Amino acid sequence: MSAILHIVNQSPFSSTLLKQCMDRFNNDDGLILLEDGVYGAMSQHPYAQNVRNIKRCYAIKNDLLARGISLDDISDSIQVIDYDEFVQLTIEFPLSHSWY
Amino acid sequence: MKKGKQHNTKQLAGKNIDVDKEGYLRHLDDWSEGVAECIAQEEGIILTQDHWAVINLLREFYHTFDVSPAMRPLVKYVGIHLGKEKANSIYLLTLFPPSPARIASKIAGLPRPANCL
Amino acid sequence: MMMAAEGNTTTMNAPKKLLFVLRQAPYGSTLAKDALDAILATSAYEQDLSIAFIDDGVFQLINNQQSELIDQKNIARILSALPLYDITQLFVCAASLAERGITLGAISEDITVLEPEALRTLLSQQDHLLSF
Repeated sequence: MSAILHIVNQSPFSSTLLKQCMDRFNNDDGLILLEDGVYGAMSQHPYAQNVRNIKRCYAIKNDLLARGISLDDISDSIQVIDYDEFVQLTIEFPLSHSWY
Repeated sequence: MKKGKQHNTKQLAGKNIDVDKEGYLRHLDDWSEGVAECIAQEEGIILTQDHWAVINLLREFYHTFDVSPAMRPLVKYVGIHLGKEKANSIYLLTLFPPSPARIASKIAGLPRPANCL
Repeated sequence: MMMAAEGNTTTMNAPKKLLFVLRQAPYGSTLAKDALDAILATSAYEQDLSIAFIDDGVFQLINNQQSELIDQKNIARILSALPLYDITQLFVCAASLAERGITLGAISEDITVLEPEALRTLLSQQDHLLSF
């Protein structure tokens, strides 16, 4: 079993993409929220609890800030990362899967 | 897959027919046995019964699967319909040199196989 | 289109396990056709190739598509050619079928239906995931 880095780029408020990803999520997998996917870091959507339970969950800093999402408003379980760290993660995980 | 943008017209079997820059018919409906013979001639091939068996089979493949076959599926399909002894690339290569899937598709009036190496 | 990143390292010539993950309906975008073009092309390289239809991707499997009515290539008919390309490892997500009310009678028969746990395992056992 290889850990998969899942990459989600759509808002959970307008798309079921995050749910579809969560349905196929293994325990050791990682999640990166980018572009409109960063709305998944907010606490009010239906899958917020699933996201909080993920051990390795990341959101792209510039995508959060660009949308006016305060870093204080997102769950402590989510690590805020820059683009270099994003690239590093895609190397670190044996597999990546883009959801779009 | 390259799709030529320019519209070339060619005189084939007494008709003006749209072809792409590699000589494949742009419209499947323009095909006829006469057109096939003209294209074959340009490729230096004189069509025999053996050629026609493959050409007709290719057209059947296309109408069944909506795609022009690459070499491997073509060989398999020939094996199923024309017999095992013909299901090899050497046989097809002697009929349609130098690239059977491409040349036979062109003569059969079908698009170029997109995934043909 | 976004593709998968690094896979497991194995020796150069050993076949890689490649899973094409098809998640889109057949005619709403060109992704389904693009995926099939990529799959047929990849089949020439003799890798360990399989396909998983999940989410709206299961709509690609519906029988009796009449795509000529909208001037599109027929995705279901192209899929039916896969055995001739030696592509026989086809999987479909049971939950996605159920969610859409699609019965097995409505899709091609030569496909393995996977429950959620089996699907998660399939995804994690690849060298590369290619998402369309």
